[in-house]
Amino acid sequence: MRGLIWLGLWLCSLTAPLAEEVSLQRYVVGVENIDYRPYHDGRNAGFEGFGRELLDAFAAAEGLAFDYQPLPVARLLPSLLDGRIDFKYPDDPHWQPQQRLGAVLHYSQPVVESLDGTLVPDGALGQPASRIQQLGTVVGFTPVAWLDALGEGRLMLRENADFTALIRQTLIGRVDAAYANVAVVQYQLRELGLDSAPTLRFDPQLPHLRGDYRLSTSRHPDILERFDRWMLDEAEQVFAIKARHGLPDTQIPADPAHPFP
Amino acid sequence: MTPEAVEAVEARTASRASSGVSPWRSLTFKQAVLTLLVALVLGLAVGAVQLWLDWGEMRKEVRRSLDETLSLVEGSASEAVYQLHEELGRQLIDGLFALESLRRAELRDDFGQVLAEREHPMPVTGLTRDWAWLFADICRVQRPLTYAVGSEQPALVGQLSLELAPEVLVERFLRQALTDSLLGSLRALFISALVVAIFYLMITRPLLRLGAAIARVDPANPGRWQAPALPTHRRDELGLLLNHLQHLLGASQAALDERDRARAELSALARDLEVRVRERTAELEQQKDVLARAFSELETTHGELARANRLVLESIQYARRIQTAMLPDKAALDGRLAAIQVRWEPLHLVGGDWFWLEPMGERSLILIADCTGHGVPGAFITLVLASAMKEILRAEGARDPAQILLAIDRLVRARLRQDHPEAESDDGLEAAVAIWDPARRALEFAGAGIPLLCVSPEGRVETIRSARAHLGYRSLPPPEAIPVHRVAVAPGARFYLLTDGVSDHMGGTPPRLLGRRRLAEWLAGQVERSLQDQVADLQRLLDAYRGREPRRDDMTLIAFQPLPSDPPPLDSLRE
Repeated sequence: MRGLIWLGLWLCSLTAPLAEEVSLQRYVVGVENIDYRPYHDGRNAGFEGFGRELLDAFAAAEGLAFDYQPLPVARLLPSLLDGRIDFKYPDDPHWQPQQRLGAVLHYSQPVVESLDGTLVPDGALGQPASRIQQLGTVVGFTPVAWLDALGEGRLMLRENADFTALIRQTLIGRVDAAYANVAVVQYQLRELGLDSAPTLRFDPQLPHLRGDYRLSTSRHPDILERFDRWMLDEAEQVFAIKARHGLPDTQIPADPAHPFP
Repeated sequence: MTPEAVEAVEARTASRASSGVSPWRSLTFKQAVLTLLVALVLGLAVGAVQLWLDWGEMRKEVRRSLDETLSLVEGSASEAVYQLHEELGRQLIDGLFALESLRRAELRDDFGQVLAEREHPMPVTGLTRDWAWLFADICRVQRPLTYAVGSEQPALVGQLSLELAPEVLVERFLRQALTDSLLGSLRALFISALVVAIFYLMITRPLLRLGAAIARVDPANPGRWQAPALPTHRRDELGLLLNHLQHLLGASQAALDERDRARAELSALARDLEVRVRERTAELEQQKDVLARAFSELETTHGELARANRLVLESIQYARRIQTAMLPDKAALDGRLAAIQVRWEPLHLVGGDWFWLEPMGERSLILIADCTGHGVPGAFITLVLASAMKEILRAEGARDPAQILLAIDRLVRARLRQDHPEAESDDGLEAAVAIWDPARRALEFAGAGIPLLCVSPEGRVETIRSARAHLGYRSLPPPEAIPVHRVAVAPGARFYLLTDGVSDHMGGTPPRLLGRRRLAEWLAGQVERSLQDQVADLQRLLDAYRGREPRRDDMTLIAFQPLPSDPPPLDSLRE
């Protein structure tokens, strides 16, 4: 008799998650298909890193299911605007402002801080911005801090397929500086074994932009509200996830010009 | 004359020969014009076909080039629209304008936004615009762009559109067509000139030489003709023509020589013939004189012969009168028989056949005889027989047919002295005697070599054979006995006595004798006719059967029909 009871309990334990999964609401989250560690890694049709762990924790807590769809960075926003994805992560209201004109988008509270800055070889540290004539970046990323110079024609933008190419192009001098997320470039330098001199270093004297990564949507603002509430309620868990991915250690100087309070 | 000199002379002669022909009518000019026309017409036709093929090929090439270009940039274009990489898209579009004829290129993403585009205005002329339809349908192409992430199915991410300028393609095509046409015309001219030159060197010039040489042929001495030198044509058709011509002229020379020889021989023969004719004429003149004398003698002889013949004929005609006088009156038995028909026809005027009719009281005697030979000899025997019969019937009073025949035998032998061994006559006769006895309505018959044919009223024929005996004849013994047949005569029965001259007519195919049997059968089929008609028909039958064959012997037939009972009045019985 006792054996039958245990067998029943075991079968219930097997079928319960299945029933739960069937009843979950599923959403498609568009993510970047690039290696953007430590924030996230969307290569090879997968999605890993801090963003994945955080969103999965939220989904698990709220009874949701997220399907992650890695896309080129430039394709993410049009896909969101076209309704092909439910959420976009990461997002920032300042990115691709022309495409956002007239569109009704909803953004979550900042998920994690980011610093997009200009990195130069060791020897070029401290040079004025006027010396930068060719600026390298990764395809899909807009060098927002340099838009004025680009608009004036004082600067030529060279896009690279990925961060590895960007780092190597900058190190050999084909471009004068690299504009990218500072944490990501530092992570890539470590991965490539190029973190010792000569290496690339963030020059805070050159244009940079502090920002936050957010979750955005056009059709599910209610989910965003639940997400914001969950981050407040589970601040410790969120902090722990950031810590696991080394994000708290990022040396980000305070920037009073941060547009978002 | 050296070969070079001969060749120079031939060349001059050929030149003179050709100079007699207007340049516009010369073979070379005609051949040149014809070759040029053919080359141009063929060139035009081939050029038109080539143009059409080039057009098709160029269309294929444009399509292939577009396909290859699209295939070449498809990956990059897909990457650009997937990444929405405007710079990459611009570079790609700029690269596509390496195509000379590209007028517009557009790279559009799957959100409907133009990622990159460029348009290159082309100069358009009236000619190229008018012919733009040649390529207008293939100038716009669109290639859907797909992109596969990982192992997922490729998804549509954008579209690459290219538009070529048909005017540029038309200009290129027309330029190529013009070049081809010019080259084709030049080629036609060159080929024509080359063909004309080759034709002149290979055919016309040797023909002119050959023609000039032929003009020099002496008709009186064709065999002494100097053939032109055609060293490079020994083994071709011209060489063959030259050989045939030489052979022909040689044969003509041989024929002329032969003709001259024949003419000389003919003259000699004519002279010899004249001599012979003169000699022969003299001989003929002599023979003519001899012949004239011979004809004169022959005419004299003919006259004598004609006179002799006339004398003989007169003698024979006189003998016929005598023999005829010796025959009985054919009406001697009228009134004693129902009918009687007698046909006595000697082969010549007189013959060896003889017959006798004589009343003997109530009885009537009928005798028929076929004596040896015919003509005068036979007639002489009939005279002997007639004399003997007169004695037998008058002096001896014989009344039995057999006795009469035996008496004839005896008397003929005696009168011809056949009973003497040294007698020269070996003549005799065959005979038959029939005696009608109306009282007993019986016919007594005895024959020596001549049978009696009896035909009943129903057409049944019966032959009463005679004895195998001959009367007379020194070389044969006298008959010992001759049987007498007595025949009961049915009313309407007919009887026939005939010598072998009647049945021995030769005729038919193959020729053969008529024969007594067939004659009897014919008579049997004629019972319905009167005896007179029957005998007349028999005469026509014999003439028809004999045809062109001559008669061979004397011919005598006696046909009679006894009275059925008491004799009718005399007038009704006479036929």
